Amino acid sequence: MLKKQLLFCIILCSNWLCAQSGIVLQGIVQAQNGLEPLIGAIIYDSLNQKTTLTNEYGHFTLPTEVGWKQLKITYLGYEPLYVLFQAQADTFLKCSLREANELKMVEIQSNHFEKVTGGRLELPIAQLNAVPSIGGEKDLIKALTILPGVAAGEEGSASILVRGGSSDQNLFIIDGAQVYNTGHLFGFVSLFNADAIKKVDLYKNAFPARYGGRLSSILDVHCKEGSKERIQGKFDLGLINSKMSLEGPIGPKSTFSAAVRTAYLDLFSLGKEKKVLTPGIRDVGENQSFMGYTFADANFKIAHAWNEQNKIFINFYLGKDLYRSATAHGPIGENNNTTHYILTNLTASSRAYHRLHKNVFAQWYTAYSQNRHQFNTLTKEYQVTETAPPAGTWLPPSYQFKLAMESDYSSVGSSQNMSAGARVDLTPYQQAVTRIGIDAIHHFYAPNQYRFQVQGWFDSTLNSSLYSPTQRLQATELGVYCEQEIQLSKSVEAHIGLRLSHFRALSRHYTNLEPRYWMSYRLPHTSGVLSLSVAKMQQYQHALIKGGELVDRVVWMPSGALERLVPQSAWQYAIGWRKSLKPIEISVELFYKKLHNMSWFSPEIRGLNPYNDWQNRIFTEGQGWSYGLEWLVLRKVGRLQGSFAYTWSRSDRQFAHLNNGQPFPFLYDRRHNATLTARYELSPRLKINALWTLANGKRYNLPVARVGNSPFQESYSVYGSINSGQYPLYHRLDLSLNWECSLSKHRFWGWSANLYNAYFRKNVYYMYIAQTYEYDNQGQIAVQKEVMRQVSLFPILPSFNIFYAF
Amino acid sequence: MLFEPMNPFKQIIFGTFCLLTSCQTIETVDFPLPYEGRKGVLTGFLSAEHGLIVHVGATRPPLNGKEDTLKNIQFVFKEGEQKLISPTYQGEKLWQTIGFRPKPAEKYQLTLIADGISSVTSATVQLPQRVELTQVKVLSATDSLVKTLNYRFQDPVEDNFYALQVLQYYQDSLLTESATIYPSAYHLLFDDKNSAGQFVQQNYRVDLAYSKGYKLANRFKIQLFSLNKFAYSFLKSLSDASFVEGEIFIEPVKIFSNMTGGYGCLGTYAVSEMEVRF
Repeated sequence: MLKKQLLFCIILCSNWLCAQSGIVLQGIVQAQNGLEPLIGAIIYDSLNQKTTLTNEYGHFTLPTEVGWKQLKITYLGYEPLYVLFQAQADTFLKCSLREANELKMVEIQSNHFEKVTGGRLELPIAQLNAVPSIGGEKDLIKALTILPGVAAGEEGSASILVRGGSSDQNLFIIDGAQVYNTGHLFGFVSLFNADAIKKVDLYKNAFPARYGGRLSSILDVHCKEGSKERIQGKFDLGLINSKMSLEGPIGPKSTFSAAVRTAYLDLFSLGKEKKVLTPGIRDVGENQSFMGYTFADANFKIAHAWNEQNKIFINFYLGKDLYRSATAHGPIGENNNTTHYILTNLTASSRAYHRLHKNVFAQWYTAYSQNRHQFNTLTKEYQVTETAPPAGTWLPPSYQFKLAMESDYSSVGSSQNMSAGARVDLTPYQQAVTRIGIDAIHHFYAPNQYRFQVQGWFDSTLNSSLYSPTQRLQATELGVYCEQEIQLSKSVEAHIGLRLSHFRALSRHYTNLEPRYWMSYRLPHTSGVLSLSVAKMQQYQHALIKGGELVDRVVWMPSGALERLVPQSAWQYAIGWRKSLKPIEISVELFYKKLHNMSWFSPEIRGLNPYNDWQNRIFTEGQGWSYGLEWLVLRKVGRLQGSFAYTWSRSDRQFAHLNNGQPFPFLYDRRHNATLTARYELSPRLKINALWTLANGKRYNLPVARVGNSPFQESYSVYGSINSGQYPLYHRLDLSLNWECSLSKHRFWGWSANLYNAYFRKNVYYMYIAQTYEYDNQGQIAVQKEVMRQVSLFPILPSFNIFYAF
Repeated sequence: MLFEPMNPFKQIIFGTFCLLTSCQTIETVDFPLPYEGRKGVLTGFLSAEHGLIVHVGATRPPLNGKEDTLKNIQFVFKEGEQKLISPTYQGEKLWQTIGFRPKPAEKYQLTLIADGISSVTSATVQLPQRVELTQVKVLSATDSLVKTLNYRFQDPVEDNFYALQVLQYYQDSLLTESATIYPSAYHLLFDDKNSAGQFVQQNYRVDLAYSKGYKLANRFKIQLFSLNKFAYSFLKSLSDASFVEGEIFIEPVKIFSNMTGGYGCLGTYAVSEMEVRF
């Protein structure tokens, strides 16, 4: 470890020693339409063969010498811009790229490998919009699963599994703020509104040192800043939800972007709840029930630029899910049940940048995130009976009882954090960028405050109640990092990073070094690019799954909450090869990931209250490993575009006290996972999209025998090795047809028809054992059998959206 | 009225909702579950108070397997180096030794032999140290329907495991349906992780409202079972499994077994009991 750190320091110092006098080309690259800064645009000086990328604010810095420059600026989906000029001094360039005609994209794509982008995988928004989805709502999470190494959790789940990691090992960031929960509508709809998103970056290896806190992936989502030119908007009407977005300038220096979305699944039941529960409306003796679910969210972002060198952004997101149900029977107020479930997600962040010097770019941020669940169910049962006490009991002779019972269960859990950070990007000499930064996060955990109160009325009132105060926990996470991107030669580029992280919870301290290395080598004779990466990641938070309510939910716990609940870590090694064979691109990557100090929560912690003794049901100090080979073939030009991704992988876990200490497959260990996407332009207005998915089924625990009843125990199952069973193969075809028509220069409308699971595949959502009975002629049970039942969701699901944009 | 007149917009929304919700299908499938083959199940407890109590059986396939009884059952019981072989029995039932009293420091092992199964042999077990209840009090008022029992005992320094049973009386008989002379998964199970070697004082609450229709006598019997680790692990896993039994697709709670060649557990216990009136 010491040697690695020494090597890192030498490389860092050499950067400064090599610094030489020259000029600096600075600039900003933006879209011509709306003047939105473009993140990750490539700036290539073809005369001097130097390359750089724009940062997350669209800015670039290219140290060079005095003389002629021929810059070629490219960005996916935009026509390249050529700039030829004679540079005599430091120069600031404002470059506007025009959106490309898709048929002319061959040349744009040919530049894609001029700058290899480390472990970053970019998901173009056009591709996100082209992926068919449930209910026609464009879904970022589902679009990510078309990438190799990224698998979906379950059908209708807003989680991803990256390279054999679990869903809690992914860090979702929206404009600098961490997102705890990524789904609406029990996970069927993604939290991210596609109309508010400008850019999505996914890292599954070669993690930059500025990111930390999760083992398997980082998803960095950047929201739109808003058009600087004019007010633009879009209305989208769908079957289950509708949305609206608006963006534009506020004066000469500021812009805004806003997007709102709401579902209307409960519109048809408006007013029904009142009717069910209000005395005087419902008839006596009438049984009534009501159920409603809705969600809504809003994104808002405002950007203000004092000048090209100074800018501030404020971003806000609020999302809410509301489920309500009520049943009532009997006379008013006597027997009824009401249930409410409210899920709230809130993020707020502010970011600013300032160019301190021609080759020093500084930025800082503050952020707040909150995820809160609230569940409440109130049941009232009244049975009025008057009876004398049984003779001979110790009860008083005058005892008479009227039984009435009212139970009220409520549960509230939340996770919050406040974070702040600062970073400086230094470009001291050609072909090198150094980033130094610090970040701090303060976590607040209120895992579960629950209250269960039962009130029973007898002759004398009996109050029986149970109250559990919130176990509040706090933790602080600090990170200091340094990254170095350096072009060692024309064909060799390296990214070296080191992150020092510290975590404190309940007076327990953990400090770790997280080295990150990535290197690429451009093979001679255009044979492609080889890349190699090694990265260590630390995760200081552990996810518990809490059930027993309407939906299972994730409850976060910090390392140190128990002495043996120590930080998890992962080392990942990957070697890849990629090549452009016009018009297709091919990439292959081999990876190996070793996970340490894993935690495993047995299912019966579900109540997560003092009686569940959850602290004793956590298995810790486990290890895991996953390895696999990923293929990706892309065609992003021409009338027919598409991709084919295939992953062969294996993922196992091992705990000393589980499965007799033997390794067992991870729940989502999938040997084969493939996706095929195709997009065909039938005409300039009409496009057809297809997505075909194939994957091994989820694993489950296989009972291999049954032990009958005895005086010591009831009948129980004997299980084989953990996760030794597997659901049948999962596959599905989704289709969508998109039509778009221009009404004028800035006004257009269109529609989208989606068909989810087009060939009616009945994929397993879950299975269970059920009892079946066969009756004889007298109506008596003749045969009682246990059978397996399969539940499938969405055998086929059509949907339709219509939109208008201006 | 089930459906009320709705305006056209609500009809569209309602139709959409029906479409979405009706898209769930449930069907019975022939899903093969492998069977590892028939194995013997031997479960029992050994105590100085009650001797050896044991039950034998055999596993069956996970779904709909026929449960048949064992034939030609024979026990081999090892006490130290001495081996005792029982006569051959037929059928499954609860077997209890009469008059046999195991010795405190002695080692015991039990083997089941029967037709159609491999022999099943337990791990070697020893009796645990008996931990005596020192005091039991009723803290609640006489006419209260909720009784709080306060019990105390001195926990020895070694690792200890316990089961607590509170018995109510119906006139002169024990009322509690699950009352057993041996420890059970339905009892309050706990270990001394947080109280090793200390004087333990705990409360146990009994709600008499649920049994108000019975002719209750105003007394309780409290039994504190000291368990060996095998017995505790077995009972605790049975208790834990009751939370998830039937949900076969989540990670299972494996029922503890200290048998080789089959399933079940041979555990040991010692019991201390006190009566209290209110």
